[in-house]
Amino acid sequence: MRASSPIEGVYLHVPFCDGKCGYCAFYSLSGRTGDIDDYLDALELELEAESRLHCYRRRTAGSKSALARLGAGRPRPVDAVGDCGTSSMQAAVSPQVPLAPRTLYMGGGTPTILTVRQLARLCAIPARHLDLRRLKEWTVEANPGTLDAERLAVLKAAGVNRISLGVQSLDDAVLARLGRRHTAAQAREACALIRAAGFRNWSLDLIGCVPGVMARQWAETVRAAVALGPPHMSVYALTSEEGSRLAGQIAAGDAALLDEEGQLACLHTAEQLLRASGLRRYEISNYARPGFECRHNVSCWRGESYLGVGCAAASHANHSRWTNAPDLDAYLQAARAGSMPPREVERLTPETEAVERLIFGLRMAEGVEPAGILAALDARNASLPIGVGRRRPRRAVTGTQQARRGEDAVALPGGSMEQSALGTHWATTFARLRREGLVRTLGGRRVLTARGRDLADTVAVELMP
Amino acid sequence: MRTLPNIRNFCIIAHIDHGKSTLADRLLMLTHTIEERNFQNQVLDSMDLERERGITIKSHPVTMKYVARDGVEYELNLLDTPGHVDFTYEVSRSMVACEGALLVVDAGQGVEAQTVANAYLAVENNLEIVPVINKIDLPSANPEVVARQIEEILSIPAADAPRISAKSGLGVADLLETIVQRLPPPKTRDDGFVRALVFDSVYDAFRGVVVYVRVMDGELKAGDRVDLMNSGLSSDVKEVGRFHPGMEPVPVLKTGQVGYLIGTLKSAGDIKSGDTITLTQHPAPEALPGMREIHPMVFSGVYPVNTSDYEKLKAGMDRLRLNDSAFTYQPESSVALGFGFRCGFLGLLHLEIVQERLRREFDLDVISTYPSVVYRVFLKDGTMEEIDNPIRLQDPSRIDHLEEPMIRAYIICQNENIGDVMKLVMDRRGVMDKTETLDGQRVMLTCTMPLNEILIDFHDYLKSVSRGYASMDYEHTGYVKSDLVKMDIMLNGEVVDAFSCIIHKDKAVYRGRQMCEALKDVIPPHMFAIPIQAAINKTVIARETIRAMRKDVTAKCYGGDISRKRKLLERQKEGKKRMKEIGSVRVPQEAFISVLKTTG
Ligand SMILES: Nc1nc2c(ncn2[C@@H]2O[C@H](COP(=O)(O)OP(=O)(O)O)[C@@H](O)[C@H]2O)c(=O)[nH]1
Ligand code: SF4
Ligand SMILES: [Mg+2]
Repeated sequence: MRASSPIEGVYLHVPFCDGKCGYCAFYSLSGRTGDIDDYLDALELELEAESRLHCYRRRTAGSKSALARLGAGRPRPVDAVGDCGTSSMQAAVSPQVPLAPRTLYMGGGTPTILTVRQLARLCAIPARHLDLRRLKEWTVEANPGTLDAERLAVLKAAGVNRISLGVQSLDDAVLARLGRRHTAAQAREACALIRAAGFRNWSLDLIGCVPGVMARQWAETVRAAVALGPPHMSVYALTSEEGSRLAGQIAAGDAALLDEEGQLACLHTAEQLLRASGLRRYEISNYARPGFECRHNVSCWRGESYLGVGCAAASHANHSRWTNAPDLDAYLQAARAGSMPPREVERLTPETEAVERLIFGLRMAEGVEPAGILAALDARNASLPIGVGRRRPRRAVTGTQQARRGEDAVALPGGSMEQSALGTHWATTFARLRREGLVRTLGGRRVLTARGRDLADTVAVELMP
Repeated sequence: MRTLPNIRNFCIIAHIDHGKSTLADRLLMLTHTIEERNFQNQVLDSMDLERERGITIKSHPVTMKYVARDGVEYELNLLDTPGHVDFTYEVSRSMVACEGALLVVDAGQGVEAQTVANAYLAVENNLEIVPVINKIDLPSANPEVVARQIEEILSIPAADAPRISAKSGLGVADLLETIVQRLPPPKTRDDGFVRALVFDSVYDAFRGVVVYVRVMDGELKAGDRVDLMNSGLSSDVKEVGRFHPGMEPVPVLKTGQVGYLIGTLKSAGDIKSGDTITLTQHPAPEALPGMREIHPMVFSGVYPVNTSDYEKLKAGMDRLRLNDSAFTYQPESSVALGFGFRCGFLGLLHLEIVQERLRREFDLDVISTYPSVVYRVFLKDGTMEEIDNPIRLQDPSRIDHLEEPMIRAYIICQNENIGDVMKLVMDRRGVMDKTETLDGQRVMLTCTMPLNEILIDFHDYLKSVSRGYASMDYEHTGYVKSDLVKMDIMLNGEVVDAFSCIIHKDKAVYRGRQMCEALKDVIPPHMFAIPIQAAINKTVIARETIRAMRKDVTAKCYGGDISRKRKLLERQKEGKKRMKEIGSVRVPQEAFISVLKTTG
């Protein structure tokens, strides 16, 4: 059995906001600030339990006899994280080698609506249960109007080294239309405070494609944002997310999204302006000066393991993904009962894992190396008994077929892309996507072209088996 | 000729919903063929689909014992018949085994199109017709007017027509007497030979092929060896029996009786209705006058959505065919759709029912191609060929002319809709032959139309222009020369054979435009622009373009979002998989239906 990959990132969710943006479908509640202290307790409990569980796994990985000798908890195969949702928080052995993430991310919601005292408490949690010596990046999300010098000082003192600020627009009318609860002036002020507090690494989020915003107006917003000097920016199109107020308005015919052409123009404008000012588009919606890419997100997109703690938080480790139920009361209740929060667990088949790595990797400028992903797939398959979510590799492609595919047949030491059914599908699909001008080949890597970035979802769907 | 005075063989014919099944049930109860406590509405309509759609597809004979008021016991053989236009052949094959028919007319609705068509069929089959006015319990019942309609339109005396309520049972006991008194008993030649008429056959999973027979002359019993005179097959008779209404074996099936025979035959498909059964040892010198052979009238390619379901589809069709000898199929392949079957149906409803059964009973997703009738192609070299698939049409340079099948349609509608109905008929290249007044409110139009014009959605339009009141039935009247062309639809420059159709020249441009527009609406944008063209003989007559997709909606995708985002994409993928890949274009299943939709 292969040892699972180490947890690279830890995410802590803070599901509280001071209102609800129109487009928002995140799990965030307003009017529940009274529960924050209990929530922080629960959050700490979950992190503690998870970190024990994962330490235990790391220690025992590859050695079943060691597990038996320890006699601790119930013996369970290393890969069986799938049922951790039912385990008791006390079941695991006490930590000896704590989790040592490289990135920490506190998102929401709006972590900065916490009081100064609560924020300090939140920031103190990780160090008690994690080994932070490998930590390279610690991000906290903030919204203008909730961020002040005092809070920034708390964050700075705790070791936070990156702020992600939800500016969304620098136009008061647009902000109001989006249902934001701050002004453009407050956003500018927040940026100034971040810089003044000594944060070199920070990000500014913008939402584009808002209907009714003129092209020139949007370009001004982007220019103004760049002028605020963030080394990182995220630019998203306004979308209709299931469950959001906006989605309801659209369904009722009271609102509409921008048409295809408008969206295209809007996002292209942003890309041009940002590129011109030295911000590189390293992912579909993310731009950064070299070295300022968000490590946490990049790690997630590369398919590395991360632990998400908190109500509605998502995790990926040990070939599984699980998401805590988006239900604050259930989360608090579970903590009081000393059990893990209710969660949905999905065991990833080797093929699903490979597909995820490909399609999310492809969203980044660095692209993907299909042959490497397939090799990992083969390796994981080889470690699984046939029949456990594993398919016998199909070796059906002849030498001539391979030759005909030319460049798309990636030679590997042990074979080529086409040795499995998935590999064959990828090879033919990549060949077609290349002809259609959506994907480029860079050595063994595949990278989206500009048009491919516009159609990233379509490309992903094509590559799914 | 000898008469068999104690037997009556009859059928009930009616427009849909006029109460045929209800009356049949009532007769079964009154004769204690079934007991009231076992009564399940409409005993004779046994397929689920039939019950749901309220139509009978198959006829199930049943034998009743009736002691008449004169004290004599009669044997009444009732053959239930379907009412729908598509199944005219079923009606007519039951009729061959009967001497009489009850023509049931709803006292509230009056004579309808199927009443007319079925009555004409009964006359053609030399049946004694007794009109029965049903539903006299309804407040809207107007038996006087209905009786007059029957006399005027059908020329059948109806002044003393029994007036009943099949639902309440009122008048049904008297109707039994009427059956005995007015319907003629069967006659036999009594020449020492055995002749039994095959009028249907079904496949029973346990017992094999069950052949429905009406013994015309002589007797049949288990142990006999018999020949089927037209098909040349022979079989040992393992069992003979009667329907009470379930199958019950009897030692002998006697002259004049209706029942079943189980032999050693393997497939219902081997057996043709209308064949004559005789004894192998002592064969009759000549067969009974056969019945009109059933020819499928409408053809369509049926393909599995999933190409890997081909074998499953074949197995499903084999099974359906066992019980539905009117349904034909043979393997064919399409460039667009891969491997499938060319299927023959009696009409559009039959096509729909077969598709629905494939879906329900065999869990198959199928696509069917543009339906076609059988065209006669006269070539310049003097030969003629019949084609049921536009793909097979020869190069125009070799064709002298084409002929298409025509129908005579009876349409009954409200006076105020005459104009709209006539316009609809004329739009469909129809010609009015006759207009007759039924009563103060309704008229019957008799018109001649090409069959291919009613194939797709004529009924829907008829119902819509008449706000649901019009009814229609038709009969086939043969072929006429017609100015027909083959129209192809091209997707991204490639002809999609599944969409090809043969169409009247004058309608091609209009129809081509409609089809292109319909496809434009249902085919989602691709990564490239897709021209959709309609062409005759490679000349483009209509064109639409689906613009290339340029942008996906780029939603935020942070780390924790990966499984949600992946599931969203997986759902999109599922949707795409359900589409049919034709060349480089993914065509959703609705496309195959949407091209059938016209706008009048
Ligand atoms: N009121 C009334 N309704 C009837 C009578 N006979 C049949 N029906 C109803 O008419 C509808 C159609 O009857 P059905 O026997 O299925 O007609 P079929 O299509 O000719 O077989 C059913 O809802 C029956 O209950 C009748 O005598 N009186
Ligand atoms: S601030 Fe963020 S989490 Fe809160 S309501 Fe707005 S979009 Fe949702
Ligand atoms: Mg019925």
